[in-house]
Amino acid sequence: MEPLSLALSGIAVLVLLLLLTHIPVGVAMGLVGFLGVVCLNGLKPALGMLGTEFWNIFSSYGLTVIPLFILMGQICFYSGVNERLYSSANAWMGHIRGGLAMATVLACAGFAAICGSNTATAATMSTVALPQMRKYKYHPILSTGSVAAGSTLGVVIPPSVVLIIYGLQTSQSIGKLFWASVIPGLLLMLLMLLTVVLLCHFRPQWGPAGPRATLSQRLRSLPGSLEMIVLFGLVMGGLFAGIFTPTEAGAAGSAISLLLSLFSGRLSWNKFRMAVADTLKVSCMIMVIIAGAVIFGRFLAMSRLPYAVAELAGTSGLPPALLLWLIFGVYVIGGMIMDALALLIVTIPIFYPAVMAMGYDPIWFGVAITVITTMGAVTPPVGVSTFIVSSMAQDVPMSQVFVGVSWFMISYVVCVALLLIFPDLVLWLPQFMG
Amino acid sequence: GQDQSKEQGKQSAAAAVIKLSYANFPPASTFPCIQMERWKAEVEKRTGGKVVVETYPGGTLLEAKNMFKGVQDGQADIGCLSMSYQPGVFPMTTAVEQPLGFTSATVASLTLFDLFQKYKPAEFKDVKVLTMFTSAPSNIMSSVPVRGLDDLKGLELRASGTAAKALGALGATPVSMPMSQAPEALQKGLVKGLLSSLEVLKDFNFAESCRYETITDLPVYPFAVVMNMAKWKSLPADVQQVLDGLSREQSEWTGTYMDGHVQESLAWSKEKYAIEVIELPDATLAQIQAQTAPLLEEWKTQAKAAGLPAETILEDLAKLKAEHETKYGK
Amino acid sequence: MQTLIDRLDAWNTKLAQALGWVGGLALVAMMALSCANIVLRAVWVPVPGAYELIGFAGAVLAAFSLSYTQIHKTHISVGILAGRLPKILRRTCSLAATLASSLLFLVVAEETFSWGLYLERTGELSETLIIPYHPVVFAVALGCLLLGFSMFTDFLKILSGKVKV
Ligand code: NA
Ligand code: NA
Repeated sequence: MEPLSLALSGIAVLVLLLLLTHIPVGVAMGLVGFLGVVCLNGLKPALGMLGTEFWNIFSSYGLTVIPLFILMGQICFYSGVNERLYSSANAWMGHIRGGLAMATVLACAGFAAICGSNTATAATMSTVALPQMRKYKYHPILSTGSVAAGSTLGVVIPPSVVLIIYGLQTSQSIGKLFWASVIPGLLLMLLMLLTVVLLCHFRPQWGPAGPRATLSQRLRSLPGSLEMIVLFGLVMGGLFAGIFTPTEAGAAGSAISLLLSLFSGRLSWNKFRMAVADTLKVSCMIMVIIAGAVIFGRFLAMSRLPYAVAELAGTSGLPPALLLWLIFGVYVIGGMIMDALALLIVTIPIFYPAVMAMGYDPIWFGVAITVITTMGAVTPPVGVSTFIVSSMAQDVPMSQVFVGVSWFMISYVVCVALLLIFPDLVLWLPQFMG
Repeated sequence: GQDQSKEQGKQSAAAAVIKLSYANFPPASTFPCIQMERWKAEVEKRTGGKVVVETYPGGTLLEAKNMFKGVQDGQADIGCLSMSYQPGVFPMTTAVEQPLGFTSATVASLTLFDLFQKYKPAEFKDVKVLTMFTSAPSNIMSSVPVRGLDDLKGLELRASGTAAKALGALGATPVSMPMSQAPEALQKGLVKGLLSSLEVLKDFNFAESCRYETITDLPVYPFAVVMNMAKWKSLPADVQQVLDGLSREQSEWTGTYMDGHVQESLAWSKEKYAIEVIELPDATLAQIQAQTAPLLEEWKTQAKAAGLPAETILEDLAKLKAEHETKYGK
Repeated sequence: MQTLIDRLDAWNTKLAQALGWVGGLALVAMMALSCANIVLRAVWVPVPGAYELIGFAGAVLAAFSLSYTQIHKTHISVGILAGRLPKILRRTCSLAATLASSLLFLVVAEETFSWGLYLERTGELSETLIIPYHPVVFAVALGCLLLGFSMFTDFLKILSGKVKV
């Protein structure tokens, strides 16, 4: 079989395998990727790939950010910090329809500002926010949708792994990329809040308004959110003051939350053990998905499908604006079936020169494709964030999470449109950086 | 009838085309990938289109640490590897990465290539070596000026491998971190600079945070482009001849390109960020040479343990270095 | 047959929990080492090779929690259309997928082990600390082996009808 048609069949087989069986997502991607490489290149190379890739991914320092940030969230979760935070949010916003979903989006944005990956944000915020919204009788479509969509802010709001990779590949200033993504990140957050408001306007029963709390109740609820704010402040402050790197920030956050909850006497040995056990399960599940995505990505790269698609877009002689939309289309479709980082690594060398030749700004393009590929983390069939959220909300079927996420997808489309119409949303802030 | 024969001709031409996959680990804009694209163009030209090279930059096929094994397993036909990523695996060719005072990539690349040709060390016996080259010498790029060894005391600089050891010997504090974490660590002041070849000033935009560049001529990093042995043996003789004919030329081209690119990177950084290039007095350079000498002793011990004639190799290396310096300038 | 499967399952659970404990220790070690690095860097010098050691701990964490995650069914799947298949087809698909997954991880274990042997043979050392690191690669192979075993137990449970799909 031709490599290209083999790759397309591989994608079809993967989709069928995922839809028709309960095989773990990462395992399915690894399996199809492995068999694909066997067909393309023979058994020995495929076996060699299996032998080195799992080690490469599991031992990668950059990925250790995931378990550490999850641990921080789990410690907070088991010591009840999140519950108190949400009671506080409920006291202040609960009487608004959809108030807790809005608080979720805001908390995601806050967490995104200290975490570079959306998988970690999805896992942590799921454990934090889902039980609360269930308690307050939110419809699963709204609760899981707001967590899955909100978690994608993890790579749009700086710091962001995707932007770091883009900066390294195109030799753009990572500092400028970070600053450039601040406004789009906040814009996306506002659009998601607006989505919650609109959803609850048309489906009031999805996010029921709670009783209005008295002023003294509200004030008394404030210390509950103080711990979280102190923790976020210390971690973010330390990160921005240059006391530690993102991975170390995860470790510092875990340690600080551990100390805070030990001093307040809210974390027993048993709860700590449960926090560690949960962290192991969630981060292991994410690592397996990443490993599977990398192996599947190797298969696609060997088949040269990403290159063929990219070249087709790059050599067609169509007007720049249309080409840009086509390239964005490739990233949308690619984001659906591939891990965002793998997709960028494969396509940037081909698209970047073409886009530069068309006269677009490199910083703007970087932020735009980051927003677009990030959307892929929630779109079916391979939406990593959606998978994580639905695994955390075990009583909610995956299909409902995808429905919830689709509503929030509108805010993504609007955001990309605004970035296209007003490039200054991206370019205004970085110009103050020397 | 004519159309049919044309069609057949096309088919047989298509059947005769040999596709070679070429994996590389750093991003497409970096010099190991630039030389890869040049090699691809030359091979395709010189074989008259009989060979088509498909390149995979940025670790899309193989990463730095599994490049060597990946090529042996056939995950890629050709791979570009850096010996410095696998300490202990290349006892002979890592002689070049010791602090020997190389001042240009051209001289270092050709010295490495000729040394390899002379010794054909066992460390590469399982693959076909297509070419070898080195990076330009490592120099200090920092956010605070380094005008002497005193300024270096306790200074936190990102470095890896031999460069890190050399820095330690000079009294600095080497911080080893993945290159991907370096830009952020620099911006946040977690490290005060890095030790690497100067093209990264432009390629990774390090000039933005590192306005002072001190010329130390510390180690170069050796690279090898290797091919799967079975694949090599399957190539027709004329193709093998083209590839062999290109190997030393490619080494020289890469060295020359690298040196030119470093100059270009410096000029760009001067214009864009008004960087200052600090030249150290000869006495300080001699002191650096003296303080880093133990590294060379360490290499000798390891090479001898691997059954290599360490002293003879170093003598040959010095001879080749001197020869090439006369030809290409210091 | 039933007792054999029960016994395998009991072993599987015990081993997964034992390895999970080690994974938990790796996580705590990662946190402690990172914090030590932050503090020591601020007051003195950074821990040499901290990044490398944290990466190794991360490898142990991920590999040793593979089967622990499997026995708690936390590895996520989609299966939206599985319910619409006729029972016999659903069972066949499920059996085939579980067996294939199990085989995949047994192969990954074997190949990772031989990658470790290769590192030992070529004398490759770690980049920063310049120490042999193939034992950590063997640990990853062990974790994958146990996941393969867990998945094979799951396969037997579906085959014997102990677990309905
Ligand atoms: Na972020
Ligand atoms: Na997706």
